Amino acid sequence: VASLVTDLHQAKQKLPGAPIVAHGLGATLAAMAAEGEDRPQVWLGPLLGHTQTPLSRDLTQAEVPGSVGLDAVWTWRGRDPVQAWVGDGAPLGCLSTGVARDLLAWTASFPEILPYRGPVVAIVSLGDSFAPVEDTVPALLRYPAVRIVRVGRNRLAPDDPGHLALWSDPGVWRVVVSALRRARHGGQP
Amino acid sequence: LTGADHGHPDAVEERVEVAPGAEIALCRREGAGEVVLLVHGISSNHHFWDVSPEHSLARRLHEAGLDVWNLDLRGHGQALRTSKGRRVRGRWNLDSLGTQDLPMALDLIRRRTGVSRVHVVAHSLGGVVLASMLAHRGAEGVASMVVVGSPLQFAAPDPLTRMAFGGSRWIPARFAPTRWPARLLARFPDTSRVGGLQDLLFSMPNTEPEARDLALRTVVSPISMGELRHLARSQHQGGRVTSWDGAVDYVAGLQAIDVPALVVTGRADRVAAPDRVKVWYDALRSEDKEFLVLSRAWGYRADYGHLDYAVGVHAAEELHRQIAAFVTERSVRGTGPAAAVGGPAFPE
Repeated sequence: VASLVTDLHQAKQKLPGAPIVAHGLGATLAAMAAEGEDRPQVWLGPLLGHTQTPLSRDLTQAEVPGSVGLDAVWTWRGRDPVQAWVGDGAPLGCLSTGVARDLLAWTASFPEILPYRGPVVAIVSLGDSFAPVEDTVPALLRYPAVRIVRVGRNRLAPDDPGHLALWSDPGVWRVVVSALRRARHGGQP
Repeated sequence: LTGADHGHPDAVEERVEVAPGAEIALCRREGAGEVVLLVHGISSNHHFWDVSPEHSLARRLHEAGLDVWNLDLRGHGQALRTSKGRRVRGRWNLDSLGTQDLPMALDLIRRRTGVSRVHVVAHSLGGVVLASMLAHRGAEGVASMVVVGSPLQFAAPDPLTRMAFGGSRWIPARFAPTRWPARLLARFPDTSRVGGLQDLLFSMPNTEPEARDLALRTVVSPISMGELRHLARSQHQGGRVTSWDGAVDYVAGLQAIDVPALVVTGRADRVAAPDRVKVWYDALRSEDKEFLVLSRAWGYRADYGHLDYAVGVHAAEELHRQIAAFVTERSVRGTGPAAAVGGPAFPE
């Protein structure tokens, strides 16, 4: 994680002042790398906490094999755990239980709030099981300059996007573009 | 009084005057087990927990041996009119319901049954009324509580919530008609543009068209603008729900409550999103508390919507059974879990 944050710092130096649009774990890294600056940020489904669920508990307790057997599919209660976790249409073919376990342990040990005090627009969706609203919204409400935008059916969109769909949903794009325009004209995103 | 109006020959109805010209109505299915009070939500009535024989928490709990009381708050269902046939009088808000209606219902039940504490199961606004009661006068008389899809925080509202709260300020009447729009909605197949609005209330993959139709026709009562206006005041208080005068914070009140609690929400609940409901779990002082998100990621068969808790295809098996187990495992009558949850009441 520390090396990823360093990478992000270096990338930002090449684009001074440019706003950041970040998704999921990327948004978490962006928050960690944002200390002391106030460049506008737009976060899509940021990972900011973790309520233990039966799936996450089973994932953290799963035995991690020494090698990956692509013919040995690990199912969870008869379902693909990736779909159960990040939503239908996931373009992933398999899930590394080792990565999942590390990720869950990491999110469970988050500090109470990541040290960012600048303006941020956070886009969340009811359909996001990976960065669920019951974890993200209470954490976001503790940021001093946050605007939370709930996307999905309550904005009369066709559906509540899942975690991965936040990156590809046209309704989300519109919110992102609108936030970036506002930031460009000197307002809060 | 008989319960014929409720369609259950074994049900008995009781009424209590809670304020001049205002009554509550209680429908009882008597049993020897734990005593349970069911509370409905906004713009709803006691039918929510008793939509049909197939979709009835009241029936499931009674079959499991529990003594089940199903409440109509004033201005809802059977309590829309008094026993003299007059329309409910006066104005009320969540403080009135939390300091008069719910405590008086609990007092009546305790007198009739002889128990000192009653289990409360509340949906949506019913849970907010429960929070109001707890904040104003503590948990006296409450054995355990199950709150289902009950929001206590309205920060970062979505456009539909903003529209409902904004509208409540401009409609001068005591009630807004919701029954005929609900029946209109029920007439349209879910593929039409109008019918598509049904999925704001239901998760379509988790409900049958017939169940949605029946729910829209039976569980909707006129919406009380006093209740809605009270919720709308949260928009001036950072999303917090407080007493009308702002002096009593309902969530802060929960921090003194240590009653066993089961807090339930649904991943597809577009009326009370899980973050608005989890506030219960975070605030309660109880050590015996559970939080569930009815969703596929939690191992349930579907993501539940706001009315799926009553009429979802798997609600009886996945939720109603769990509520019965939660209540009976926290027995205050000495009937214990074995008397209620096992046996043929919940066939596999």
